[in-house]
Amino acid sequence: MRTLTPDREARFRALYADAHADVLRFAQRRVHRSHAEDVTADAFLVAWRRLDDAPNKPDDVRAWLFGIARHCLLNTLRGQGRRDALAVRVAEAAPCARFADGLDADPVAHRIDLAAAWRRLSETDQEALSLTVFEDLSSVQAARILGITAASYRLRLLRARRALRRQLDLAEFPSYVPMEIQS
Amino acid sequence: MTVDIDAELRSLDASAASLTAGEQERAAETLERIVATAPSLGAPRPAASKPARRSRRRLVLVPAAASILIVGWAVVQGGRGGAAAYASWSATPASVASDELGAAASACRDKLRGSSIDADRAKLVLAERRGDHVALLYRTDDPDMSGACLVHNPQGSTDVDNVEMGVGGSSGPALKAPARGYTQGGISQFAGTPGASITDGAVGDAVTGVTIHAGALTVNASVRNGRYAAWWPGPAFESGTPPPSGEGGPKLILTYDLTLADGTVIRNAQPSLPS
Repeated sequence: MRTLTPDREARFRALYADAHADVLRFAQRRVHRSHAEDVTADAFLVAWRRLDDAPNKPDDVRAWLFGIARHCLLNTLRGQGRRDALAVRVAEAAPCARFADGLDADPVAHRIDLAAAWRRLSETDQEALSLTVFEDLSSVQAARILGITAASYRLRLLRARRALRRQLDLAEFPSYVPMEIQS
Repeated sequence: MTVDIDAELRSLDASAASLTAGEQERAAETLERIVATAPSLGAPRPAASKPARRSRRRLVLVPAAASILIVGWAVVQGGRGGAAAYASWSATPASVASDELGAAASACRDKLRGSSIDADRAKLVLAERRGDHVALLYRTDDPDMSGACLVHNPQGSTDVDNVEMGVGGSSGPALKAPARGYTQGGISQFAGTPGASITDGAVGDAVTGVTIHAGALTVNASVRNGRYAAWWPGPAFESGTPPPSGEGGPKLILTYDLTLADGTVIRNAQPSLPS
């Protein structure tokens, strides 16, 4: 048994070197940067204990680690209401120097609308989109992380895209809100 | 169009493109600490040659105030509601009969599996009964992790249900409390009405009693083997939704009195901080 330890450690060190940055970025999208390192450390500690469960393919290992990190986060945040999904943050899209210089303002405005639309999405929609857009996972890998079937994930992703589109449309055509009229 | 939106979304990625020098250094330290721990059953391996610098606090760690370092906090969704759920609670704990303990401990350990604590290696260091509920504390000292359970188990019965669980700690080794002091360990608050909270920590050799004031409630903690633990039917934090990260986290409503072996009572004792 002990003779297996060096191999195990070497395997873990290789896994850590390959995937640490990706797991850290996964965490940074979901919690404040100051805590993302702690989440990542949590995830790798669990991975060290469960190394025998790790898949063989590098891409699958990465997805497996994301699943562990997500589980760590959900365990901690579950008290803020029922948490089956994790909100995913996007960067601020404030007007930048390009805008001020009089270059094309439309893309900047669109980015601002897109960021605002993203923040109005449900956590479930954000998470479904993020696993494809930011984490670049296949439907099978994303589904495994969420504990659903690949078909269910694809449906969830479709709904999330539609929800994002609806929110963007709302931003482009804001509804008119009448002032309160006092009689 | 989908591709365009995906590309635009990627331009809004909140994650950093590369690690800072500090992040790289801490990542390397974390790796050494992890591989220095036993991967599963058995005693911890000898410490790595790296300096045993205290790890950064984990996600579940939140400094609630400048003078207080909470080892961990979590507000956990609970299933029970109604004040009657904890009507049998008592401010002073009682011991747990061995057959009841066996049932509760098994349910707790099962609940802890898959969490951040190594449930197979964790040792049951404390158990107490308050009415129809048994609280259990599982621990590993390296890494410094506590897994606390609150189990509904009517006295005289081995029936166990509604197992609540909270886990907190750090990836570094456990801190020893000063002789006349204590450390503030994991604090879990289970959501509900009235909800419940459970906490644990280390006490120094001279400490024989810990009394926790949680708002209007006064709780006499169980103290054994250098650890204390207690739970109560009420909150540990000020009301309001805690932020998703520990930054500026929820404010504790707890104060602690310590009773020492010589009879001295230290009121509103402050926890010792990691060095």
